[in-house]
Amino acid sequence: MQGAQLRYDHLSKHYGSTIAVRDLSGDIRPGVVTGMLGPNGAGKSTALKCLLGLAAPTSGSALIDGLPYLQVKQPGRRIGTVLETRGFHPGVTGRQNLLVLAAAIDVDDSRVNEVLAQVELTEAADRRIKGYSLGMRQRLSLAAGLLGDPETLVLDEPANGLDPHAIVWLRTLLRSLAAEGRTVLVSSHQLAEMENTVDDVFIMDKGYLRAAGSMTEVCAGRTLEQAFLAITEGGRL
Amino acid sequence: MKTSLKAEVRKLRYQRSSYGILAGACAIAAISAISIIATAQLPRRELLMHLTDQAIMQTVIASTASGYIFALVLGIVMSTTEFRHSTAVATYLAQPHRRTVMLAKMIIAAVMGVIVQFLSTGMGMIAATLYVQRYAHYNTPLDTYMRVMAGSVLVGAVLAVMGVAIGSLIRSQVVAIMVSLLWLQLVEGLLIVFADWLGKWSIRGAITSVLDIAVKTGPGSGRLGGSSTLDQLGPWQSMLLLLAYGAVFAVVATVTSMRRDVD
Repeated sequence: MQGAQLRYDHLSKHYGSTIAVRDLSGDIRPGVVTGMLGPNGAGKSTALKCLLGLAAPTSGSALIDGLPYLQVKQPGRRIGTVLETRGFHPGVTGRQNLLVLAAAIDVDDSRVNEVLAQVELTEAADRRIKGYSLGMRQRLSLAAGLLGDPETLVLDEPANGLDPHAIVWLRTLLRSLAAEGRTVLVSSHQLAEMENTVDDVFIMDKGYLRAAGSMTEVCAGRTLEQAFLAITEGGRL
Repeated sequence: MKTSLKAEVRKLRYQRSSYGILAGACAIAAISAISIIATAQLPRRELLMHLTDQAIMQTVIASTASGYIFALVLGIVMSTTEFRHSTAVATYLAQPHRRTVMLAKMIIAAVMGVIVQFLSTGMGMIAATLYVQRYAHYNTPLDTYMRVMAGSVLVGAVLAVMGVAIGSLIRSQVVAIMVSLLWLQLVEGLLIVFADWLGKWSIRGAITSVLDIAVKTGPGSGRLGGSSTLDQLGPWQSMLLLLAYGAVFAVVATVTSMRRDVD
């Protein structure tokens, strides 16, 4: 499987007088896990929303194989997403939430059972979402992202709410998906966890891209946390 | 479009609020019709005299369409639920062409509006007909039932579409429902009573005209719920006016949704 090439080209996004992302440029390549790292408010989620067509760039572009999300054919199947802002109807069961999505992206209903098993949520599938723990919701969100067997995965803080076992499981899953040639873009503020997961990094802070490249290049012999603090000057930039 | 339609149908099937709204519409339709009969009976036991008045019985039948508020609420809930529970993100990721999403929602809302009104009006008619039999055998022409039912389903379809539009514009479920009900029931209600020359052009004026079958049936029969119906637009004009309202709301909501970010 060949994942899509993702590209940010001088992307900026303003909300009124607040500048969430400033002149972001860079490529995300298939076959590796790319981490978009930075503290809360760094602009990571906004950059992902622009890539996914949920927010319109103020200037510049965010492209998937050279196309904006709106022009990608069958985007719901080709690009799996796990977003912090993605919600589920609390009065509906996990399975029903996925069946709605299956209809929307035109995949067979049998795929719902497959992804529920993949995220180890089969037993809770027929319970209403309002009874789910944060970790279970996160697993369901991952199931939704995997439903279309996408060639590209975009995940926003996917480890939030997961217990240590689930984090290891998630890391293994992301590594295996990338090994299959898929594009995996993960945003996170959990540097220690990402250090073990990602191959390439984008370090963002206050809307700026501070550094980009392979882990080896960016860390230059330091831990990711040390490199991050050095690059952002401990958040004083 | 087909996938969006299928997804919208599933959302309605799985959400219990859909069934609650349908049940509410049926209950209101039956209660409205029966309460008019019961109210007419209250001052003196002259119900039979009143019911022999064609206009009053027709008013009772017309009141069976009063579940239309629920069609509007259904449309609002269809839109606002997406923002209330942040499912709009998943919806727009699956189908980034927002015009398609809005169109699918409006089509399903229109169909559901027809279903809500058909069932609730039908239930109201059955309840009214059975209830009135306690007092007299009154033969309302079948034509009356048919005309009210036709008007009712049209109103249901248009209001459900308007509900989807209002919900996508306002996004807050409580605010959208409150604003809509206050506007329809209070502002337009007052307009119809105190400025009927203007009120007849309102949404509620158009609804009343589409459903109104008491017009020109005789002296004094043109007063429904305290408002004059003698000077209203004709049924066809009202129908076109209502469709125009629906179209304007649909276009404004679709254009707006294409420009707004999704949180």
